[in-house]
Amino acid sequence: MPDLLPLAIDNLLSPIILFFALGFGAALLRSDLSIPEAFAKAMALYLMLAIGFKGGVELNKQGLNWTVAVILLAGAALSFVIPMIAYTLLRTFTRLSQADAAAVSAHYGSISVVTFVAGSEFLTLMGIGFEGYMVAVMAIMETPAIVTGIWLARRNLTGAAEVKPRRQKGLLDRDLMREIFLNGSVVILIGSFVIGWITGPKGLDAIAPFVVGPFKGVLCLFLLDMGLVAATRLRGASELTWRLVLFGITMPVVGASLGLTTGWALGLGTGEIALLGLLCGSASYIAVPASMRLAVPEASPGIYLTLSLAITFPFNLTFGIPLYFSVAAAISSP
Amino acid sequence: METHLRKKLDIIVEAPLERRVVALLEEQEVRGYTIMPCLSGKGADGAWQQGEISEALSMRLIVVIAREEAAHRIMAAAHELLRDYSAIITLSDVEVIRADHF
Repeated sequence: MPDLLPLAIDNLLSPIILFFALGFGAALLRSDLSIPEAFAKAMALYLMLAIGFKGGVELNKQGLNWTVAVILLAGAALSFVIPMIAYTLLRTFTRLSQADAAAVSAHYGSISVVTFVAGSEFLTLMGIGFEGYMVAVMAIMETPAIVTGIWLARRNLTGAAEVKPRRQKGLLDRDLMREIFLNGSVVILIGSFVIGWITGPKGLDAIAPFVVGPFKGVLCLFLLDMGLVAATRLRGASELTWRLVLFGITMPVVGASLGLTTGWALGLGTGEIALLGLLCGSASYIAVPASMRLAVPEASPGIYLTLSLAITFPFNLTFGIPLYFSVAAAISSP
Repeated sequence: METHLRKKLDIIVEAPLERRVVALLEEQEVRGYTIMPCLSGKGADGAWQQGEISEALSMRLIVVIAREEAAHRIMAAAHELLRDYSAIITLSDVEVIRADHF
């Protein structure tokens, strides 16, 4: 197993983490530094387009095989199952209500694109490659957790006594289905992936100055914004208890362990195992909150958004990435 | 200048619900409405502001001007739609110049 400390230091001293820290510190000190909302959205779109496209190109080079189908299925299954573990932990160790625990669980079953991007940059820094299909695994893991979360929130635990929302039309109505499956981030990720797959290395050559060159710089600026948003959220967090904070740090490790074990069992390489662990350990803060507002309005966004954005995201970014990588390096076959 | 009395309905609602409210307005056959982004605020669910990475906590202000009877009908339907969600619905008197528009 590679020594964790130098890895952690390498990671902490990379520009993306330092820019995140800059944003975080600036917001804590109440600086007026801010990134315009529309620009931040455009950067998020750019990052997803670039990562999706490059993943598709990699898949085009390597070709499709059964491993891809198996790992996609495994990713979807993990996204379905992780919320149940998170929910059990929350209901056992915290005082969260059924709705709050279910909504938080959905966030932890789903994934964070930026964490994945930061993880893949870390792998590149370490000189470790990874297969392009991991981007498709990321896209597929975004939504199953939402379905589990809604089910956890709506199942009747106590017979007739449970209070249910009035306007409930089955588990998923049409509007919710659209919100979940045609969510903008899912569409741009899968869409760019398919375009990258169709056009292959030729396509990449054509748009490399756009999707490759500026990528790291944009990522730095985006992480500066993430730092600002995470610290602002943390400053206004009144519903956060120490048990919840502990959950926000423990759950990514639990999820990542599951992902690392699955990657190892499937015989994947170091890069893929590390990224699968990272995907399972990361929590959503873009796609899932909107679905939860629609489907589980009684759950408090002050809890789920703060936990995933202000506790788990910084944890994964700073300590999770080198930790999962070192475990992946130790367990993957040489 | 001659003016005409109408009712103005202000609906402040979470961004993810915007589409549902618009569908309701179309269902109620309103002749027009205006949607505006909200900057920031605080309510029963805590503080929120525009510009968070997720749009989930952003709010929208939807303004509808209608005749009294229609405005009450829309208000009742909007209340039914939004009773489980964070939302504010208010009704007030306004004067308009072009009566045939509202």
